[in-house]
Amino acid sequence: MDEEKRIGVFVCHCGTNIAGVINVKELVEYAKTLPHVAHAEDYTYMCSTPGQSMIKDRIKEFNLNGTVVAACSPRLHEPTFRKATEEGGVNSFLFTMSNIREQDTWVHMEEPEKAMEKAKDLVRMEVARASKLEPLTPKTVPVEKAALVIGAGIAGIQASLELADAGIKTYLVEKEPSIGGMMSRLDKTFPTLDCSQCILTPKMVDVERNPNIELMTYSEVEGISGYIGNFDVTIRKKSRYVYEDKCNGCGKCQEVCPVSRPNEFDLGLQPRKAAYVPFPQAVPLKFTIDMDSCIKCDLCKGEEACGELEAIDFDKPDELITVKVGTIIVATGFDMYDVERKEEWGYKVFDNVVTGIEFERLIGASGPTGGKVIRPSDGKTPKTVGFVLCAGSRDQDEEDGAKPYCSRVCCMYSLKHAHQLIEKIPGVVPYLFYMDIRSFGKAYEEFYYRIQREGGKFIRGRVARITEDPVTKNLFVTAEDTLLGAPLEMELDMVVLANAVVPAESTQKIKSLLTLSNSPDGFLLEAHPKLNPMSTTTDGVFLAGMCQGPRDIPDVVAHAAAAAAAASIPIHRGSVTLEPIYAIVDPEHCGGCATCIGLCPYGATELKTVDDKLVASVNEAKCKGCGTCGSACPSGAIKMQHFTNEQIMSEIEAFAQGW
Amino acid sequence: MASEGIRNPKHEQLGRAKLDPDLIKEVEARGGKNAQMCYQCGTCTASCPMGPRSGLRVRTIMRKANLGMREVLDDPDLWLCTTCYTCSDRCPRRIMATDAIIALRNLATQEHKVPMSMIKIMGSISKTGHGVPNSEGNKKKRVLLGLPENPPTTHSYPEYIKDINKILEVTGLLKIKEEMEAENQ
Repeated sequence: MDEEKRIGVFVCHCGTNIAGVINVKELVEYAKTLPHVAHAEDYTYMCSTPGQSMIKDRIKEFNLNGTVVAACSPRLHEPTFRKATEEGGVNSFLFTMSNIREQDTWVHMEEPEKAMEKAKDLVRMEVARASKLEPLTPKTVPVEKAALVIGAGIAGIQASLELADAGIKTYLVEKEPSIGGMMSRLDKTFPTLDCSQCILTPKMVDVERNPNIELMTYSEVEGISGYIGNFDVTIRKKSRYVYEDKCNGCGKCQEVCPVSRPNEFDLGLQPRKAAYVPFPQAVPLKFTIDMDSCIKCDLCKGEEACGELEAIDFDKPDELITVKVGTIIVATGFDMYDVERKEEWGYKVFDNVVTGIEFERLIGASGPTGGKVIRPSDGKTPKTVGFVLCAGSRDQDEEDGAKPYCSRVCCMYSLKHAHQLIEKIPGVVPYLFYMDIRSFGKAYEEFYYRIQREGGKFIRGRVARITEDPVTKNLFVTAEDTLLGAPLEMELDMVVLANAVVPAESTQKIKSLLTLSNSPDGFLLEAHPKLNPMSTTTDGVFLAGMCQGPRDIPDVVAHAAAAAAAASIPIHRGSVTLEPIYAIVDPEHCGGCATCIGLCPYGATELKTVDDKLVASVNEAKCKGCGTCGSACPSGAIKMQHFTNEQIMSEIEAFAQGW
Repeated sequence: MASEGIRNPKHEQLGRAKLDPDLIKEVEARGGKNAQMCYQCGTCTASCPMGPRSGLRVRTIMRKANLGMREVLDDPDLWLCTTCYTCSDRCPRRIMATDAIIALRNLATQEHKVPMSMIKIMGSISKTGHGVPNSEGNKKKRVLLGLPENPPTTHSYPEYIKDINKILEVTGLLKIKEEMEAENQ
């Protein structure tokens, strides 16, 4: 470090983005006057190949040992210039970037003189910092050759199959007794009208058969520690009160069970027993005893039922299992908006107002009516059915818990419902109350055309109110036909509310276990909305499906496959390189006060005994280099590498010199 | 089981109209090809040469027909279409809106909802073979241009007027004319 600092400053024009606002030549001349600057130069596009070569060549030509590029945000090209610096033979952490585009010429383009002044400040500060930078070496850690997938809806199923097929041991954890998720509740899928079960169950069976997949149903992730490549996961296998290895799925326990309660799978539309499988195609086909409703009559254990199999044990405890994995995919799905909160639509007040997912069960071949559509109040066949689109979507009413975003599936599944009605009930008229029909996917607009051709009636207007005739139980639906500018009140037999898709309640626990964030819509936050929608800001943790945002089945499958590909990269590579920008504790100065431990947002700090003394230590792999611990440490024992106090102070001092 | 209805305060004087999902099927059957497929983009209204000059709004007519509002048949604007077919030409859903309007006119006529001005034109056709017969002014202009006073139509061959009346009779128009004239006495 005692070596004389020789810094090169490279000013980028960024076409006219920078050079169109400030005089880059003047900035170069100014840079040459700064301490330690051995060379300064400008170029139209520093990020281009000749721009990068320029850095490399000048390092050799002027014997530089530090570089500053004044250009765009380091989020964009820091890796580019680090590499160029490295290729010039200088440690890449002796490079630093001055953002004179986003933070200067873009925001101050109306006042170029002041922008020029600010550019000088920014370059002077970065040169000062560059003179204090220290060389750092990235670390590599090995990666466990296994992955964890949380949630076994279509997203988790797809991701697990992809990982397993890539030769990776995959632990698939599902909290419900069967895999399949929301898709297993659907009757048909838009726009091709494939039977949902028919395309899903083969995949479910594949999951069960795949030797690389270890399926854990009726199980929940309880704890996750570690970091990319080395996660330790604790999973609670809730007791089914049935030994999975002994149960042969014969169903005799269910036959004799005297308890009846609403089946959650059918949203309570038909009953199940206390000994049950949620639906006939369940995977695994292992019975579960619902201890909350079991009356312990022991009939299921009797000779006529389970008998000699002895699969049932009311005292069977939960099991805690720990597994070690290299990467994790979160595929925790979604919930449906509680549309009861929209009192104006009378859900749960009027018998014949149902939700979209309830309608799926009502029209589904495997549903409580075997696919015969009836209206709940009197079991009669409805002849006029209203569909309320955007029921809780595109709605800023926070008090009602409504969501400002488009749920992206309701237009299409309502069109599908209209089609199914027309197919099943001669003379039925479906009325779709919509604001916009968003049929954006492949073959979706054509499907919309088809439903209109088949006789679906489209009324452009949001339903303002639903009332009921107390005698006939018919519904009066009030809306404006905005295309006519006329208020309408229609008498309908039945109304289906296409309620919004909302973030799953159960995702919250996983979110805090993995220190993930959410976007303003409440769904899990991706690393980049366009270029990295399947990664998170936690290294080694990926997102698949609706937990990241509303999407339809084709998009969920694509997203899940992308997450699996991303999650398999570190595993196949065998090791990961960690940024050396992490905090380090000087054990001599650390008093072991543990202030840093409570503050660390990534759970990277812990107390350790070093030479009989309790001191803080930082897990380099988990640390994100945010600096929270360093700024809070009362004894100044924590050093933030690449952002040391000395480096930051030098920037501040350089800034002050301009005043 | 239930009847669909529409209450529209704007049209309260019309009473509580019923929505008739079959109306659009009738329009299609009578030549309004694809009428049901209208997605209300407004290309028709914007293409219509009558649009800026009158109350004719083709999109609105298509909307009412699709919704099953039979009161569209009472709409006098229905009769303002010149049948130029520009809207049909430009429709992105290949709807023959002009033919739909003609279908609606036919339905309106059957229900005696045709304006009396049209009945008068029908009378003129019955009498002269022309909706707008040749006038004295026109005759002078024709002569000035070196044409005969009358065109080679029923004006020149009045013996064919009886055949035109046969068409009016077979199509039932003459009867409708007579009934409507009686109703409007």
